[in-house]
Amino acid sequence: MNADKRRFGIVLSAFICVYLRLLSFGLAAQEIRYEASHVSMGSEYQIVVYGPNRAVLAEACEQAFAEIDRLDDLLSNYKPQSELSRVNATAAKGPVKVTPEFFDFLRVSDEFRRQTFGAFDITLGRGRLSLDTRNSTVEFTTPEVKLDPGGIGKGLAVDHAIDILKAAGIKRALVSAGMSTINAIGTPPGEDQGWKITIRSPKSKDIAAATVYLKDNSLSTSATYEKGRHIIDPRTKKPPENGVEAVSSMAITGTESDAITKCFFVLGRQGASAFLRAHPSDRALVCDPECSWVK
Amino acid sequence: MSNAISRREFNKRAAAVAAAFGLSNFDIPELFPTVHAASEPVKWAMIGTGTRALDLLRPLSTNTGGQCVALCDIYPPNLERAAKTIGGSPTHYDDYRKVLERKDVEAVMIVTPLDRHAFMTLDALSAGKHVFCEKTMVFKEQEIAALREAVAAHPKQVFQVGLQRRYSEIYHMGMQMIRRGALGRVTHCYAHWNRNSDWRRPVADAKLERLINWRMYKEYSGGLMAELGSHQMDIAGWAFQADPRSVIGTGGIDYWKDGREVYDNVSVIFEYPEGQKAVFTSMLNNQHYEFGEHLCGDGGTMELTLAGPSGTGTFWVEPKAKATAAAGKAKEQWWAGATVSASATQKGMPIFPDEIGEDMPFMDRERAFGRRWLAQRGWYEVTEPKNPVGTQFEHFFMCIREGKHPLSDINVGASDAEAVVYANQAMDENRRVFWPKYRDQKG
Ligand SMILES: NC(=O)c1ccc[n+]([C@@H]2O[C@H](COP(=O)([O-])OP(=O)(O)OC[C@H]3O[C@@H](n4cnc5c(N)ncnc54)[C@H](O)[C@@H]3O)[C@@H](O)[C@H]2O)c1
Repeated sequence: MNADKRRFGIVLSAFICVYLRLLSFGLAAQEIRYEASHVSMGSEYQIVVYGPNRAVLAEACEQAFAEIDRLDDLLSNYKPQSELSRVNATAAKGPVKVTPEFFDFLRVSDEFRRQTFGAFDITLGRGRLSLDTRNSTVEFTTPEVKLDPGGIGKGLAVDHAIDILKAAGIKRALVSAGMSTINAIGTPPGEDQGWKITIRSPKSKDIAAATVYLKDNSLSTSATYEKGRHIIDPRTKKPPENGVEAVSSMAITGTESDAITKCFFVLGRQGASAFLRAHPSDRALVCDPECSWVK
Repeated sequence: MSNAISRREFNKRAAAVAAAFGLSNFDIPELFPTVHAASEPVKWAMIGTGTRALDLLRPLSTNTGGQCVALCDIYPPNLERAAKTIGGSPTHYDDYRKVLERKDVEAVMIVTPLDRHAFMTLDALSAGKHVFCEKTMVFKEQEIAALREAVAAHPKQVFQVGLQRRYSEIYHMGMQMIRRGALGRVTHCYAHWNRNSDWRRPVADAKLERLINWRMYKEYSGGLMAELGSHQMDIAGWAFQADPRSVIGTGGIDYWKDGREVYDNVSVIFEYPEGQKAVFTSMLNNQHYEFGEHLCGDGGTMELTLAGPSGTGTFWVEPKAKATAAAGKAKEQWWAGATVSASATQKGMPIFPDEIGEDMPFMDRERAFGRRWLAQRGWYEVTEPKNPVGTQFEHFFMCIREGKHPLSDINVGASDAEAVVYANQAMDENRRVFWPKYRDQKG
């Protein structure tokens, strides 16, 4: 009797196991690809996410876009009411108290300036920021200083979006800020190498300069083909004369890939090479004008 | 036919637009005549030669597909003015029946106040004439039925309604884009037509008030709905490819309380069989948003208007989330590059009735590309290459010569008139009015 019961129990649990396996199999087969876009900071942001539940995916994308809009309100130099505009208007007259988030943004930007010996500079070389951590204030050392978020604004926005998607439990996602900064979580289903990204050649938007795979990292691109020579060397206050037409860099975060891309545009191939020796996990494709990976 | 373009050339232009939107095989109906150098011009007469007549006579004066042989009006000053505009030596009449008696008159254009459209059209059809009738075709339910019957009884005669948007390249492009899914599922048409004027004309002699200001009186006029809304309800019907199911609305004489009988502002909502809505609003005390139609779908928005010198069309893509099964999907394929500013897409894409052909002279091609580039940045507006008010007569004469069926035919005219009639009923009687075939099953 007892043995019978036990046998029944074993058979039952075996059935349950198989049933659960089948169930989870069924769910996995129903994975959904969700793609959405949104215009913010003058660019079209695109998000692709994978997961079993459409409502969860849609909600996560909405929240990510809302976060990008919120950052735009914080960092825009076109919106007079943004925190950045407020600082630009007043920080030359004395210390301005800023939100912890904005203070962090300034600290990270200043850190990049130091690491790149001024090749990346959110003030575009017009002066220094005096940051007071204890009081969370910022002061400009000269009245000429104006913060320009262009160097890392999009990278930061993409990173925040990625954080929100991760918090929603999403394991496969790609966020693109108008193609110029792309950050990815995991891989697309069945593509273990990662998200395949073709970097366009400066010569034409239909010609590939290189192909890379993103997997928990980020790619940023700057070039002269869209807006002309819009990047200024903060050290000379002029467009650099190093023949660089396009730079694409890979780093873990969008903020970093965005910043080093701007920086390599200024430093050129040799400067990039020196920087990368100290940062072995990053990579860069420089087109000056021939495109090749920096050794 | 000096300024007419051939059908071949037109279709080529259409193909260029199609290519710009990644579409193929546009099929735009025959707007323009095939040029028959040998064919005799159509002998025509115009009945009612007031304000609108002048807009029609100007392009007609250079249209060699027809020849004006008679003008008719009961108000001599208007007749004089019209005669000067068209030139030549048309005979003058004050009784339209005399015009219809003339054997050599092949076609008549009826450009009188709205209450006269029905009986004049019926008489003209009986007299064997081809008829161009200004919009709104008619403004009473029983007139619509009578005209349908008469047109059906005279199948060899062309009957065309003066809804000129049906002869606009931009509108045709827009409708083709809709058919090809550029807007996705089209759910709404927002139409507005606003003016800043009392809508009255000066009257020298009080006896002439009702003749000159016929628009103010219900005996002759369907008010803003007929005079302005009819153009736009035609567009809603064209886009949705359906007649409405019902209409609600409200209107009032709230601003110009000067003894007029028709509303000086109206707001109406038409409901279509699949739940689509067409909203029409009109006022006479503010013209900031002059006139135009916005067609909205889940895939995009299109603004079409003949406002300005000759109209524009603009298209915006709707950001749209797409959920698809991951299983069996294509591989992820993304491009990276310097940011393309989104401002171009935010400003909208102009709808181009503009050809860029391989065989174009180099400079023309460069210019065309230049225009396209400027337009995409919102610095240049793409406009209709030809005024559809004139084009509609090239089409009219072609239909007569070649035995073809006009684009704005009795069905188009009747659907449009129904929208006017029922919207006015809804406002006057303060209730929801159903189209006849839905009256038994409302709800
Ligand atoms: N398609 C369009 O965009 C457009 C624009 C404006 C007007 N319209 C239409 O054109 C028509 C005329 O409008 P309008 O602004 O020219 O009006 P109007 O009052 O300026 O002109 C009407 C003319 O008809 C004449 N008339 C009246 N009764 C007549 C009769 N029995 N026999 C001969 N002539 C007669 C009048 O004397 C007048 O000259 C209306 O139906 C109107 O809706 C169409």
